[in-house]
Amino acid sequence: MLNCVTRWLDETAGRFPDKTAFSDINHSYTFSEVRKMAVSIAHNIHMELGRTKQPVAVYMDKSSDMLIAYLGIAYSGNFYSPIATDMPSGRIEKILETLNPGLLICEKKYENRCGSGREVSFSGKKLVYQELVNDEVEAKEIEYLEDRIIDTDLLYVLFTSGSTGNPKGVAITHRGVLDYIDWVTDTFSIDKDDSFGNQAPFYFDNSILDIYSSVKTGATLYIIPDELFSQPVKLLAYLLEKKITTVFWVPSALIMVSKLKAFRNVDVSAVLKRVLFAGEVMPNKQLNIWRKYLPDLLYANLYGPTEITDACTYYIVDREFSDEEPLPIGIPMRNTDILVLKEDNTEVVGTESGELCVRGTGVAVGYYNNPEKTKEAFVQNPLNTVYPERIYRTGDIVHYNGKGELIYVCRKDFQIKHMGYRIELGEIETAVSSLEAVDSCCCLYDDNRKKIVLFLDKELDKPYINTRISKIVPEYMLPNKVISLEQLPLNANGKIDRVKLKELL
Amino acid sequence: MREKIIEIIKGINEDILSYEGNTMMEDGIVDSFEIINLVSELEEEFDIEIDARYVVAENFNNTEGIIKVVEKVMGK
Repeated sequence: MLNCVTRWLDETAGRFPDKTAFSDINHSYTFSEVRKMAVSIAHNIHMELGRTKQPVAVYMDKSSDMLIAYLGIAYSGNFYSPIATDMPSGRIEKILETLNPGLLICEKKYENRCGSGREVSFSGKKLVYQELVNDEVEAKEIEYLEDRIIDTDLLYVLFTSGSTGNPKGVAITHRGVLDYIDWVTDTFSIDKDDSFGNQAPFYFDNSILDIYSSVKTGATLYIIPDELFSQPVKLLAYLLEKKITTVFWVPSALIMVSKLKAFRNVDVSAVLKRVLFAGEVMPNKQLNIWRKYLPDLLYANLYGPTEITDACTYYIVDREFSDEEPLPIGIPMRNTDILVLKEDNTEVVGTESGELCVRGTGVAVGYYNNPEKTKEAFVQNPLNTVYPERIYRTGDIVHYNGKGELIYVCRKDFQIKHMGYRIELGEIETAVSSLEAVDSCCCLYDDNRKKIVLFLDKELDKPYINTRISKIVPEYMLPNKVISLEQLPLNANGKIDRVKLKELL
Repeated sequence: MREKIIEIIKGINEDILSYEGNTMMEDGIVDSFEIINLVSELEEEFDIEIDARYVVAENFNNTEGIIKVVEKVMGK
């Protein structure tokens, strides 16, 4: 049994040393180059830190090099946590406060941005990526570090939106990723001849499937330039040119292609084999367009929050659906169990709805340095009263259909999925409320138009609000529409009446 | 027609109207969903079909670029 994900790289670099591992618009690296550079990084990290099981922050643009940094950190026995380079400084500050990393790796061009009192305010040791990768280090020199990793050690911490304005760091182990990727590559028969067309940012857990399936099997990972996701014909032409066999995208990216029927311009049927998606609801109306033009592909709907190593249920599309039907989120993955619990913590019967809860090796160890939030979401399995057993409560309401497949219904709270990003509307409200000019506000999501709508009791326009809160929340959380009212409606309890506001959308 | 297009753009994302450059997509002024909504609403309003090959950064570069696409599709 493997103890850590870097064992995959050891083996793949041995079997396919000259095969391309990662490729972006600037660089392509073979598996042996990736391993050599990652080993060099690990050596440097160890020289600097001298300890293992420590968080290492990564401040780099999305690139092949960023993945090499991840693997180098993993080799060193520590764990990585990405900080997006376009993230507002206020949010970075909160993340670094929670993470308190002893080390930060940044690109040369960002060297001056990181440090005490700077945009990335950080008082620990800063290492420049370009200065870490070229040391001639024999892999056996760091073997002892790799040997000491156990599979329950952390591999990464990814930060997600938190309702009170403080992002939560989801801590995932090597075991979670080992089990998940073993399941992915077995279920979808991924091998060295495959190539992934990556869409997910590397601070978003969907990318785990692309990265580690490639490292495990020898498949090539192509990082698709972001701007192609607004230009469907160019996007399909890219898939054709790079001979991409597998994509794992958020539905928004797939919908872009199907709504504009780009299939009529570029035929990718000779190369593309699998279309996997997760992160938000995939409307059957759009999936049916994909299936009409590309009927022979495998389509699979994966479901799962960041707290469960990317995904925990799946549905391989095996029958026809009308445009209005919901697509199932399916059945549990291997080594995963799903409990659907009612409010009284008993299991649902038949097609009753309840909260989806998960147990299994993919469940995160909790929120990093946040015992309170961990206690709320990671709880004792109420169906087991005889020994400690942790489950994760997703907050997602689901029910079983007549075929025993899970169907997603809605959220229990005010969390939304927008462009594949998980957002707590409360985090936007907290940011807006922090502005002096604002007394009261409420954020809603317009599901039909896919817009974040902010209601205010002041005459303030969108540029005014967004310019100011862009220092606090990331760009994808900025309201798409701002509606000013004389006063916000209140319900009988004196709280803002969201139902009435929803009618104004 | 021009006024109607501007009205549609305003409903989707008014930042497009005040944008003065000519690389709107690269500059992150619009996201992919806004592009979809924009194309859908233009198609519905003018009873046209905008072929996906027109939906590229070179055409959807600013307000004038969008107007030109509609004119081209309508054969004007």
